[in-house]
Amino acid sequence: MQADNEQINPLQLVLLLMNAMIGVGVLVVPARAARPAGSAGWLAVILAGLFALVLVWLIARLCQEFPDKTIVEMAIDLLGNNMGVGAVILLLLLWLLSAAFILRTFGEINRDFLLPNTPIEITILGILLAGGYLARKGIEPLARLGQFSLPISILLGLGSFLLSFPGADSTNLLPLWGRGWQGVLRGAASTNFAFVGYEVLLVLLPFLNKPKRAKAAGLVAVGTVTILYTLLTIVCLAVFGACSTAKILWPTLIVARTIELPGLFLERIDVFIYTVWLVQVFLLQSIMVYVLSLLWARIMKIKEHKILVWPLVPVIYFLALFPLNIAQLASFNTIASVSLTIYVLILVLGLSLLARGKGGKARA
Amino acid sequence: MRRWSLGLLLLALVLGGCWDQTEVEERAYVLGVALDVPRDKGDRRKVTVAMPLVREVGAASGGGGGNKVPLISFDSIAPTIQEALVPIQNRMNRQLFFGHQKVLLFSEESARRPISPWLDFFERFSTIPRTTLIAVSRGEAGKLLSTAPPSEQLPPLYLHQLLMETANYGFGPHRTLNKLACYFESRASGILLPMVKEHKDSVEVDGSAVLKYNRLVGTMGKHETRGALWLTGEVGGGTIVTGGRGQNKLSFVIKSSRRRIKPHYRDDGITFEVRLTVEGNVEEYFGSRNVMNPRVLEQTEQEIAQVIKREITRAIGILQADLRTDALGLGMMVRKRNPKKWQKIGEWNDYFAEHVKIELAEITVFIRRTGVLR
Repeated sequence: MQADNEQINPLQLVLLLMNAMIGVGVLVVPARAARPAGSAGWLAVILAGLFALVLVWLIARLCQEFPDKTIVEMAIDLLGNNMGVGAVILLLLLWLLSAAFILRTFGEINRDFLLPNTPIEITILGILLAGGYLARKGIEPLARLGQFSLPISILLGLGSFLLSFPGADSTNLLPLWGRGWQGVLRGAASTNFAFVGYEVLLVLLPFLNKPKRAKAAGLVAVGTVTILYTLLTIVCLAVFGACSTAKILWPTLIVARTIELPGLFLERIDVFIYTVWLVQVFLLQSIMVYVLSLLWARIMKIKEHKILVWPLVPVIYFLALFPLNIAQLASFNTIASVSLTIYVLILVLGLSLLARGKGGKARA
Repeated sequence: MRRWSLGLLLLALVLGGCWDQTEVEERAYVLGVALDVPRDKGDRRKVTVAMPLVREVGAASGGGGGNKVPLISFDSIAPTIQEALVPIQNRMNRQLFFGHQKVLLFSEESARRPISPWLDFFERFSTIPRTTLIAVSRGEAGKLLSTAPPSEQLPPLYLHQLLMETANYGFGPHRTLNKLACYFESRASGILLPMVKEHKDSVEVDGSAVLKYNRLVGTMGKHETRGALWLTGEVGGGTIVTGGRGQNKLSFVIKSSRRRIKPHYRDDGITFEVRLTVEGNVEEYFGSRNVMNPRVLEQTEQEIAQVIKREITRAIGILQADLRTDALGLGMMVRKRNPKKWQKIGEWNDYFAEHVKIELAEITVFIRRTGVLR
């Protein structure tokens, strides 16, 4: 059996991108949106999704001009060796931070909901080692696992989530504009980071067997996640109302605790959502480790990314343990993902402009 | 070989111990919590927790059982709930576990003081189900956690079922922890909570408690409660008797109700136009007329509508004139649908008492069936 022929098809790319996006964001998106935007939180999510769609389109357009190159070669080509490597190293660091904080959030939630006495180091290390193992196998096993698990996750997670509909009060979505359009804009800005993850397209495109479909794949992935997040936000707002949604740390998990099913022995439906989310975090972690090691290998001009996986694991591990408490973690997480989004935007815009300039010159 | 042993070592590290292993018999499953105000200590609460004795339940279902209640309850007085649990835990050989909590009771006395701070514990702890039912008790709340008819094994479960049932019959509102917590968080102006009291060796749902913002300001009887619940659209059962004194007494059993409220904004106030549709069956009749006759049914429908109207009017009277509290969610309706008007109003409860008119525009009753008799 061929373990890795380093090729994925467009559907696998869509699922990989979705996997990379659905991590911590899915849990906090309703709260993030409701805090500034009130009952119009779902509008803020749609707005943030539109921004992410634009950004992923830009990324895909840039990458399609260099279909067999990752961001590393692109940056070196366009910015020169020193600046290019510097730009990519900054990207690597930001990715590293966001991967570490996602891992830590996973540990914190694990502690709150499932294993209150298990040291957080153990749960983090467990998922990180498994993720590293998978990342060493290359892109194709990752893609296949994603293809297998994501549909199940979404069906099961969304299914149990929608059971909370009977307890919902749709008038909680009024007033439609919440606290005014400024609130919606601020909500969109703070929700934006929940979409972080689609930038891995910068690295994954060379593995796509039909590079021309990259734009469509990116748009479909971000679009689907936007719809999913909007749905989650609407349900949370309807069940809790805007004020409570903003107060709860992880409304997506808590909303399942409000489900009343008369006559059903199963009392805790949230277990399903939790399980599904755990699998997602594992996949996300594997993708991040893979992408990071690949980026690192390309910077150092090493052909195999494999040997860099295990050196990365302790780095992520210690970074994940760095925040002292959950408040620090939340603010670090926000800083990391906001700067990642802004940096990717600047990088992609800059490179696109340079690429256009160069292309123009070559043609002339 | 070395690789294998290394792998095994790693496995042992990862799978070796489970920190969170807890056996069922090591846990005490808290089914109900009650909060009372101890004498002379207004800022403290007597916290009562009730747990089943796992062994007793098993023995009772296996053998004769009898009327011994297999429930154990502990209480302690402390400034916070977490603090109150310490002496309780110190007397227990098992670990308190709140994952299956069914009810949370406030005594009337404790509900008269701000109650939202006391909810935080239950909301903050991720294992406590947000479906826990809330009620206010006349008299001591802790005692109700161990009061149940002899046929019932576990009083808190009995209380839980009772609250569910009465909510179905429209005699008490259905209030979960989630609903109450969200109510406090949204700073709405008032809410109804079911009121329970001891009745010989059982518990009876006795109308409702009216909360103004954060504390209890008054109570309402059974019929006034239903009057208010018609307006919140929460009546889905229960009976209405017409022809009270005469020979033509008739019991109408409610099957469903639907209400639509339309606010009309004026400069000097708001009129809420209420349209109510009630469906149900005739299930008892003392008289000798033919109930199947459309004209008789029509007349009866109007009589029932009159009874409903009287209930609603009385409820509105109590809420507007006596308690000056909007526990009907009308304020939230204005806040959601007309935020501009809402901002001009200021204190909603005063506005509700002075400038709000509730107009019963239409009460439509449908008698759908009459049983197997004419």
